[in-house]
Amino acid sequence: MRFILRKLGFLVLTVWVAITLNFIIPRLMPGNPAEAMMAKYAQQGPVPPQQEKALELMLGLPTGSLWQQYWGYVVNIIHGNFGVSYSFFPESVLSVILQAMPWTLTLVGLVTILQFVVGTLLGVYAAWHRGKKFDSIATVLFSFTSAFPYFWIALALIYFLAFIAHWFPISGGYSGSLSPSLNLPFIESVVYHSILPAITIFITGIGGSLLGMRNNMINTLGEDYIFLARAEGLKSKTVAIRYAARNAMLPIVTNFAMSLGLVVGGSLLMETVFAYPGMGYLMSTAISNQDYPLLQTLFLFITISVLLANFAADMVTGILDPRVRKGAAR
Amino acid sequence: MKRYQVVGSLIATLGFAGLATVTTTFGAANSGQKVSDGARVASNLNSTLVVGVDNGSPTFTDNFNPYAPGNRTGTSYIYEPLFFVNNLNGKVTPWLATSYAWQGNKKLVVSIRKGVKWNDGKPFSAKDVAFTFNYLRKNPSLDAQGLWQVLSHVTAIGNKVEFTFKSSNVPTFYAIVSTLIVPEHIWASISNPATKIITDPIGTGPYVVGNFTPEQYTLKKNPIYWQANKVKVDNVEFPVLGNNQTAALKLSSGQWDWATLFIPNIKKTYVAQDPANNKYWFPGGGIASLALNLKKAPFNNIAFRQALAYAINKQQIAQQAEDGYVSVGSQAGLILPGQMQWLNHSLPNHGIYPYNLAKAKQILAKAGYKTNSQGKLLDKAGKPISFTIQVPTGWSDTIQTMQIIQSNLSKLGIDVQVTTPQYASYSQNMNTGQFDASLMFYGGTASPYTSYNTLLNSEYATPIGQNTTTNQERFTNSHIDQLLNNWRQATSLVAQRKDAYQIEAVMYNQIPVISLDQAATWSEYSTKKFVGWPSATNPYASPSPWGQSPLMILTHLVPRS
Repeated sequence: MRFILRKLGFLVLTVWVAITLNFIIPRLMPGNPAEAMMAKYAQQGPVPPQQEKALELMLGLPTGSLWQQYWGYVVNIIHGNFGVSYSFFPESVLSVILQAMPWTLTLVGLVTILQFVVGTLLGVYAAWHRGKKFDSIATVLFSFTSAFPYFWIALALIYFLAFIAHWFPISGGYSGSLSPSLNLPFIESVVYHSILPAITIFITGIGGSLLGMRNNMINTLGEDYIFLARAEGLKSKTVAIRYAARNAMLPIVTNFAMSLGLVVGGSLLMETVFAYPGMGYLMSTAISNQDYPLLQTLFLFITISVLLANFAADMVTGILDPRVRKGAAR
Repeated sequence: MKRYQVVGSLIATLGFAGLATVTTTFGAANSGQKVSDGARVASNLNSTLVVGVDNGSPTFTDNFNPYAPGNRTGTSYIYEPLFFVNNLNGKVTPWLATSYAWQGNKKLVVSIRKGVKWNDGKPFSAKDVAFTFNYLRKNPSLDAQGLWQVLSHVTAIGNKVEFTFKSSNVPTFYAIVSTLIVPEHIWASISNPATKIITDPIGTGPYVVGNFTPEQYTLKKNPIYWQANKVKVDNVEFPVLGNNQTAALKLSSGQWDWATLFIPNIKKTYVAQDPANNKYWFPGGGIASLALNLKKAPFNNIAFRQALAYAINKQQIAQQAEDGYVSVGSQAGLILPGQMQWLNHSLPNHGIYPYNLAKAKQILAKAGYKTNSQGKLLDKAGKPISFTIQVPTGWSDTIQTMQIIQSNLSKLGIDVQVTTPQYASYSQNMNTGQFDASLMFYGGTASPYTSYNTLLNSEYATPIGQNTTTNQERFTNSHIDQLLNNWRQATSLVAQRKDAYQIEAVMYNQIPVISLDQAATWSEYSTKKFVGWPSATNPYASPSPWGQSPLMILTHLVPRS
């Protein structure tokens, strides 16, 4: 119980720090959103100079002292009021985020889980048969794929499979002629549009979990209790899974929880290249438009989900590894 | 042991979920193909124009409010102005108004077109026009053109609308007549115009909103449009634009009919995909210039600026930095050939400074600038001259432009550094005058007056450290101020031209900024379904799918067969 309380206290403290940093950082950047909007217009052609004044008036840029702004900000967050987005003006931040969130959660979330599971299992296999053919091929191959830059592999896939071969759509989340609803043609279209983005995340991500698990597992296999288990004549499968993999998993669970938390932020590069309507693309828009309210809320969501995931990982590790709980109780 | 089983079954479940995902994913690949084929057939319908312009990053929000900065591009296909102004040459075409007349130079009377209806069936009248302008007065945040700094009142009398000015300002005409008109019966009750979300816009224009999804929307023809017989495009479809690379691929693969993208090597990447139909036209939309801070030495010396104007190889900039898509900019500050009627023909070579390094050196020597033993140019105090040019980060073509200038000027013995700050700090430096030299866009307005006034009016040349959004190079010249003042009062074209010629001569001789090239309006279009596009030989409108040009273009397009 004390273990849980301590972790909870820590969670609350870090959330407060995150909220405060979230408030400060955008205000350290030069310029204001009206200027950023002007920049967007200026790339299309000359803008009348009066327009900047009009934009500032319209956006209602923050006024008052920093303390007043900070206080207003915290009160609003507690009430779940995140303000109005500048780049999607006059849409509210929350409605913009709620539109993008499901796309990212399903695509990036599912693929992250998938590549974690596949990668970890392959890692276990490679470590158990270390030095054999599969291990040497997989290790080299996946070190190679995990070094691919996201956008490079995404653009290569688009160019060859979508533009040249016409097998897949070039970009987007679904065919624009269908309206989003839970019917078969729409779901088919969503899945069809998600294949290339999914492959991109999978290819670039799987190397990490495979290699991580393999290396941890090899370390564990050198431990005395593994020798003991073998000496007792347990089946090698039992030794591999119940004794070695279980202990090798511990750091991987933390890693996995972190990456699940980060899923909320989307996959910025992948989503931007594919124009996928998720959180990552939303964030890149928010950054380029200096959309403080949207940016702050996105960061807040990401931070909080990472913290929650970490909290969950702590709990899971506590269950998996009695030493962690005992350490706390001492 | 028990605990292990939980984890084990968790892994197993996840594994199965993963497998299940794989099967459904690949199972759907085939049927998905059908979906996209279906979509392709739909957009191949000959009556639908597909336009890649609206960047919904990541998705579209359903808002056609003409006053909201984040509205859909299609909004400008729905609301209309009093006159259509062709910014390429300043030509004015009657639109919701039929004619105008000046009474003296402080009162403009506009006659409103009869028989026009709002797309909800209610009649449009002069009252709506007067309402629109008074609405801007009531909500200064909507008055992006600053009309009420000049106007004193606007009233409807019968089917005429009278605009009365505080002081004479004839060129404001263009800002007035291009203001979008909104219906009084809708907007009179809207008290928060900028934040109001309008999903069912009521306008007089050729299109109304059809189908809307966050990835794409369609505008369909307004059956009761006042010139419905001229509109031959039944539907206009706007898919989400996405990033530049994938957008270019979609355009090249023939999925889009009209776009506004910068595409490197366009002849190979776009035109060659379908040489009979894939066309582009990039007319000048403004002038990219090098602004020098005139409050600082040596930029305050006219001879020095003249030497730079000769030493910068503008042809090289147009060819290398802009892929040869643009032409060299005239020092007269006009977009050519569109604004040829304003050009002072006594200026040599249409006001373009040719590249002439020898002449540049000669001018510097004559003005008393010396070089040291390493060949560095020295200022009057004997120190080597060195300065910084700023250009916003990420604007790759203009960054390359500045790098060409850097190498050009090194031949005069001048050390130039190029810095690439964020746009916001770039803009702040310009506003407060904290720069040596900077990229600056100007020009491209229907009346050259507007460009000259914002570029040269001494009133805006604030001291260094104080903000200004215009005349940021801080040029002061009382003769120019007098000419601008004359122009504000002149209703006749002949009188306006006389002022223009003199201003151009000052622009040419005193070089407030150094014109580099004509910044292009990007526009690619396909004649596969529709013909009648604006072109260099028939420049009836700027070819951009945003702004007011589409109103003109969509009354000119006709199906191919």
